[in-house]
Amino acid sequence: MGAAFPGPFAESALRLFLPADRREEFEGDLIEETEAIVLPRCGRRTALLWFWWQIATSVPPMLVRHLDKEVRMYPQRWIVPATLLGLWGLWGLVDLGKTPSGGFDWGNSEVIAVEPGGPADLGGLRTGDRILTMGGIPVRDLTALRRQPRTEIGETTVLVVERTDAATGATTTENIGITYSALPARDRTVSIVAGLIGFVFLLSGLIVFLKTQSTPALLFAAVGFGFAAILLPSPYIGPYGLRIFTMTLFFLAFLTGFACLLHFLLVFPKRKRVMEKKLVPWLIYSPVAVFVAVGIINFVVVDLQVGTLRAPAAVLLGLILIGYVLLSLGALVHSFVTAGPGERAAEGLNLMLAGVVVGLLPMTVMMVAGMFVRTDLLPGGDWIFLPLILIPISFAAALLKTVGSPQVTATG
Amino acid sequence: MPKGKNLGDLEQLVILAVLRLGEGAYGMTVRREIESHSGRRVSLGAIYATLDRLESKGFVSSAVGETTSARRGRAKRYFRVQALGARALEDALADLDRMRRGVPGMDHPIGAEA
Repeated sequence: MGAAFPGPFAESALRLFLPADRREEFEGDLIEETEAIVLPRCGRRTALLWFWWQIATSVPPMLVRHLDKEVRMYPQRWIVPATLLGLWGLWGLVDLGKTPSGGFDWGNSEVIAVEPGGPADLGGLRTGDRILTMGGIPVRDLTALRRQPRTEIGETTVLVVERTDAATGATTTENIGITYSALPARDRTVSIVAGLIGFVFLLSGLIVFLKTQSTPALLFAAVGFGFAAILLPSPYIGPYGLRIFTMTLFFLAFLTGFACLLHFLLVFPKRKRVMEKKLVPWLIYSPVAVFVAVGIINFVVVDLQVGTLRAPAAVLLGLILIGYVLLSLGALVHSFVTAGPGERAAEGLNLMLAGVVVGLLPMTVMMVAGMFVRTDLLPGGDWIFLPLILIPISFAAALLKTVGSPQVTATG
Repeated sequence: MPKGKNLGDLEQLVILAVLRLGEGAYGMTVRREIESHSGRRVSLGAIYATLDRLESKGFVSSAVGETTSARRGRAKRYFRVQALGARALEDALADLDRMRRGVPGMDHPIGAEA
């Protein structure tokens, strides 16, 4: 019999992905079954296929089990990433004072909005101007633009814009100097309030998880972490690579938070039948996997030309997020409808449904609207996230209600 | 019922397979036992994850066994069902039995099918 099983490649793959405590017996079983049973019966090619299929389908459950065990055994370890994220948020809050503002918004090379009395307004920029270059860099070259360090408060950036006079139709080119100022008070307040909601997410997840290490509690902690990652203000990171890396990391944490929210609502208060289907857990997390891959390609392999990909990627992301929200809502409504009135109160379903509906609806409406119109034109856009605070509070209350209750099984 | 005592579908099959295999229950034989008797294709990793979960609940115990040349010198790990696991399985099967009683076409005890 050839020495192809496991082969050096398979061995290193197993060493990399399988938890050490069961690796030896797993490998032994796999080799024994492949060589003693599958090989004589089905031939070499099928045996090889079978062997790799076993590895591919074995690593995920064993890895999940291992991580699950680790997390449950040492719940206090969760404090470390949570604290790091909290400190990051605090740093971000402090950095708000140093965050520069040019007082204008632009998209697709066009100036969308100019804050009255702001730096851009003072410099003479007008809504509708087409930006040609910013600080000497063509705006079409988004990659180069992203690589630029931020303009600090007090520094001046020169914009070259093309302006068409509405009355005469004549097009002129203007040089406009914008001296950046500190963030307007209103923007700063929005960021601070968003940060506070982020802290509520982070802390409620942490507290619930330290009280009970059930699967729903773990998922809720991940939801809290992901939402905190996006709500907490980020400090400005100078080095370009590090900046993109942290942004990617935070984005993935956010997306994972949405996936965990759906997963959470499918297993809490009761595990739904649909979770018994093999593919479902995979499907829940597949968008995360896709964006992890995109993130790795973007960061390690090539700097993607974001300009060409931005529009389809934004639409895709919007659809994914809406999908998560709608499915999560559906799962929650299903739990609510199938539970009796007594269960609804005992399992905190009343609380959760109210929290989610009031918490997510404004943002969902905004996201859907964002696919058709510019969201900055909608009223109250800045404060759309405010009701989100109801979600962590209502979920944490519901989870703590069911601690020790017999209906919630701990295993996933 | 205390928390975590309910047995999942695969957990029931795994406990049954370990019971059927007696002294010879280790990862590969458990997998084959389930596949050949229930027709369900389960990966070896899923078997290991389930056994590990059952062990942490105190439903099965395990011990490192012998190494053989067919395994390239890798040791086996034998599993055995504990009293707690046997009771949990009985409870689960009894639940099913009670539930099927009175259902048209299902109303016969487990094991009595033609």
